[in-house]
Amino acid sequence: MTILIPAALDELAAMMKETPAFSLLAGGTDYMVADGRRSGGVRPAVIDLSGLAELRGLKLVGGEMVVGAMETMSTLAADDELRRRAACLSEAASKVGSWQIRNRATLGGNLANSSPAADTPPALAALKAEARLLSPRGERRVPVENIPVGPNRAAIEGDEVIVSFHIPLPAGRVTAFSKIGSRSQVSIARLNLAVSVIMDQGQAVEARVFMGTLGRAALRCPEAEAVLRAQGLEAEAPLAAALAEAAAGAIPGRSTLSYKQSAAGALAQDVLALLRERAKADGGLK
Amino acid sequence: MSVNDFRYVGKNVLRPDGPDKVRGRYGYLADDPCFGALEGAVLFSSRPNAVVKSLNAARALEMPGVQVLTFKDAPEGKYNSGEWFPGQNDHADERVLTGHARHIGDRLALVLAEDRGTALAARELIEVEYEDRPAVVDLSEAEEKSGLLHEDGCGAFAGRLEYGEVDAAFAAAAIVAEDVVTTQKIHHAAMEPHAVLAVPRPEGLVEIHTPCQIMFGVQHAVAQVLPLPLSKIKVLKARMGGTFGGKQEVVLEPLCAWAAWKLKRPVFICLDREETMLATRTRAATISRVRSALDAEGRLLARHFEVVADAGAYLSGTKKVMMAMGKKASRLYRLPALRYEGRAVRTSTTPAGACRGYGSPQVHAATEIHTDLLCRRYGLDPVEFRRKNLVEPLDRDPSGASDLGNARVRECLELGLQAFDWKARQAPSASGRFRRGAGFACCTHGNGYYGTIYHDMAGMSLRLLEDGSAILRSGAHELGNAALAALAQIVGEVIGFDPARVTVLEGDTLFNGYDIGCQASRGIFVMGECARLCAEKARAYLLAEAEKLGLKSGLQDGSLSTGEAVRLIEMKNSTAVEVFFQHRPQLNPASYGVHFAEVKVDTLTGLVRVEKYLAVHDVGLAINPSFVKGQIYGGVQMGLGLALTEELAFDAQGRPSARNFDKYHLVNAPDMPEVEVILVERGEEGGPFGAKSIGEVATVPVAPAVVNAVNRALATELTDLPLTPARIVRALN
Repeated sequence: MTILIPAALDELAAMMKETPAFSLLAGGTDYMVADGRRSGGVRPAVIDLSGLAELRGLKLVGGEMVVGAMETMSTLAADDELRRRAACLSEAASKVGSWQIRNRATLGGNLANSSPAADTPPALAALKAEARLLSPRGERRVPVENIPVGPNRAAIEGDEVIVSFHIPLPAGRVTAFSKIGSRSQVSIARLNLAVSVIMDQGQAVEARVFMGTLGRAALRCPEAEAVLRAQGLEAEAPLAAALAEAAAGAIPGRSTLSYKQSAAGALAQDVLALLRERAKADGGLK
Repeated sequence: MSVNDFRYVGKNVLRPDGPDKVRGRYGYLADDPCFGALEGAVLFSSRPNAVVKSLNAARALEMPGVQVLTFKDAPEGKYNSGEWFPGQNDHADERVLTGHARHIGDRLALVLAEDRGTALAARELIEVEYEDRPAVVDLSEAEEKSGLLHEDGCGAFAGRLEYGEVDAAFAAAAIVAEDVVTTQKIHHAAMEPHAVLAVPRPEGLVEIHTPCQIMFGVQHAVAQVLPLPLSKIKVLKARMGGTFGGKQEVVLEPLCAWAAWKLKRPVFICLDREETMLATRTRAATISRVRSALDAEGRLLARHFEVVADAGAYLSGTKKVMMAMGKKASRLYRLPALRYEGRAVRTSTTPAGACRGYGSPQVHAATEIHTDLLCRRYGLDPVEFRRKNLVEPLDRDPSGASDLGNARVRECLELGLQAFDWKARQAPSASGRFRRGAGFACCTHGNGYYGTIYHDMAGMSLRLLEDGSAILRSGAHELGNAALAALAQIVGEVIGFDPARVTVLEGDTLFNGYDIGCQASRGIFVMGECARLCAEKARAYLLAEAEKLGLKSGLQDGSLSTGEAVRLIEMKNSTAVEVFFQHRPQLNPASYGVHFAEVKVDTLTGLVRVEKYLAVHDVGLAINPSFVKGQIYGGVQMGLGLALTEELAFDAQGRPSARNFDKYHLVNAPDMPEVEVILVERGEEGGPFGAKSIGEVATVPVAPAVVNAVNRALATELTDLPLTPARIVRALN
């Protein structure tokens, strides 16, 4: 196996052009475990992204928060600015795997791998984040919510690399994330939920609701969003019902459905409690 | 004599392996490569029940240095992995390699190469053509479908225990209650996967290095497949990274020894986690139907058990486990009459076998959950039920097994009720998303084999050295529980040496005195007592030899050091201060525990948080309280898994629900409650300084205590373990 370690983005682009079949290695927490057992087996070359400074960083640029794709879950979970401006992503990052995994796992890798149980894609999608993708053919920005398309399937071309995430920072936004696994920590989500609402004079004027584990990494739930816009942050039961409905639509007949529907009720309560607390702290909720 | 009179016993002496173990520097078998060993990779079946029509290794054999041994090369002889002594007549139905795969993970062939990478790559190139047969998974059908799995005509392996007038008791009973409790297959989850090294030596000897629990049992098993007398089979207990019963039965040793013998090369086999999970042993899953007959005052008149134990693909030790369950039934409560009817059946799933508690966790889950449910149904107080029915110190076992000894379960209960503030906690919180409830459970376990159909004995030799140190040659097996360190403390106490100066050697079948292995919770009660008596014998010999030289008074008043006395005795009397002692226990008392748990249940997610935990144990005397507490903490962790999260399930097609820790969930540190421990130390006759067992009994009452707490919190009657979130949510809807 060949291992290539580019030091700059143009070098990466050249390597991707010249290498016939390769895997991109970010934190390796999925790749090393899968060990080529995923369909297709081990590819002859690995391009290790860890040397690329351009894929790092967490900064405010022109009203957006820009997060490098190779930033680790640990870094994200510890960042005060992120916690203030995009709490749901901070929370999602803090609940990925174990300390050891969070020290390695990256935001870009979590999206590229697109496990249906991934924790950060729903948070990014709720934040209306866009991913900046680079390939030898140029670059494009894609809404994160359009990237996960199925179990471990991401709408990213084989010659594309995620460079960074761009998170808009609208006024009045509060967000929250919660997940349910088999344990309180070191656990794969059985269900997760990220919600972002924009509060204006005590009203939720915009809502984005994404659930994970339902066949893809981030499933948008428009009915749940409508509930929040119409009934606000107290609407625990209607939100739970809308989420249960969305789960039924996504995985009809699956043996785990009834459990996930019950768990959605718990997540609805937990996330709304966090949102109310944050909206109050922001002065957005009387 | 109280603990204060001891120099070392009862003190938290540090274990010598501790520092290296916590730093990750303690080498296990796989860390000590054997020069010139072939690496063996076992080709495991991917089918639950299939006859191998063809196995084509041609492409594998093209790789450099690769050799392949298949079921066609393997000896026809069958063995039982749970048989540890010649003549036990456990039904033999397993071969080292098989052409009829009876579970996913059954052994078809062994691929050998000069390095592990080549062996693993060559294994991928072997093509197997299977003729599939239907999987046998459902325990209710296993007996009738046994012909699909085995050709030996044995549908089920039945066993029975009975005493007293059972039918009359049920006929006269004021209350007859019945429950069916099921327990699941459990993976032992030792840190170290299964590994073994076999080395052919000159003069027809084969040497087997294995992290095992019964080295003489390994020797016996290897003699079933190799044409060697026992005296040519040298089994060395390797340093072990955990077992919990998973390494008690032989799994890879006969295969590895046979391959090394056949190829005249050392062979090393080391499994990975998935292989250890699917291809070694599990806790036996059980279905227990328990009926209790009570008089109008709530006193037990009789119990009737009907138990089915899932042996998995081979009988293994599962019939023994099933019988061990029955033998516990008359040692916790005063039970005037018992009928225990059990069957072990085989299924196309990973074989079962020994697992911490050896049937005790299963049978106590059944009886203690049942006891709480019957109390609720008939308006009895579960505490009063125990007060009326628990055994008393010095009770006999009406089944005819050994007397119970200084059975202090009542004291455990009363101390626990007080410390846990049971009165305040027993009422569950009534409503809302989160419900709180408390529960407790009582249990018992043994101290060896005395009084059973198996023999119990231990032989050790001790030599005192010229510098005031000592070597104890024991047949002990360090399983990770600090057994060797405890033996050093015992020897140190008798001789007067700092335990740090006492080296305790582990087993070697060609060198040590005979010992029946670290099983049946006999480590401290039988082997510890053997070490004590061996040390007493050495001390007596020392004093007798010193007397010949007129040195006795100097030794006794401390003016002459023991080391100097040994040196003078060797020089002048031409004798080493070295003795051999064989211990034949004449007692097998019961150890007891009562555990209390308080849980918080999320009714929407079904997640159970154990918020408070108390373990009270009748241990006779703690040789080393920190070791005893360590066993209890670990026992609680394992029992919580049995109660709530761990399950190696198989679907109707015989496919496992988990192949690794991504789908098999142990309770981890963030979810562990603080475990408070109370030790009842009232001494036990026949144990070293009054000590008795703790390692197995510590995990026995955990699951029923937690299940009782959940059932009380939710007003449910959950009896199928584990109480997974999905099961809890289903029960509430």
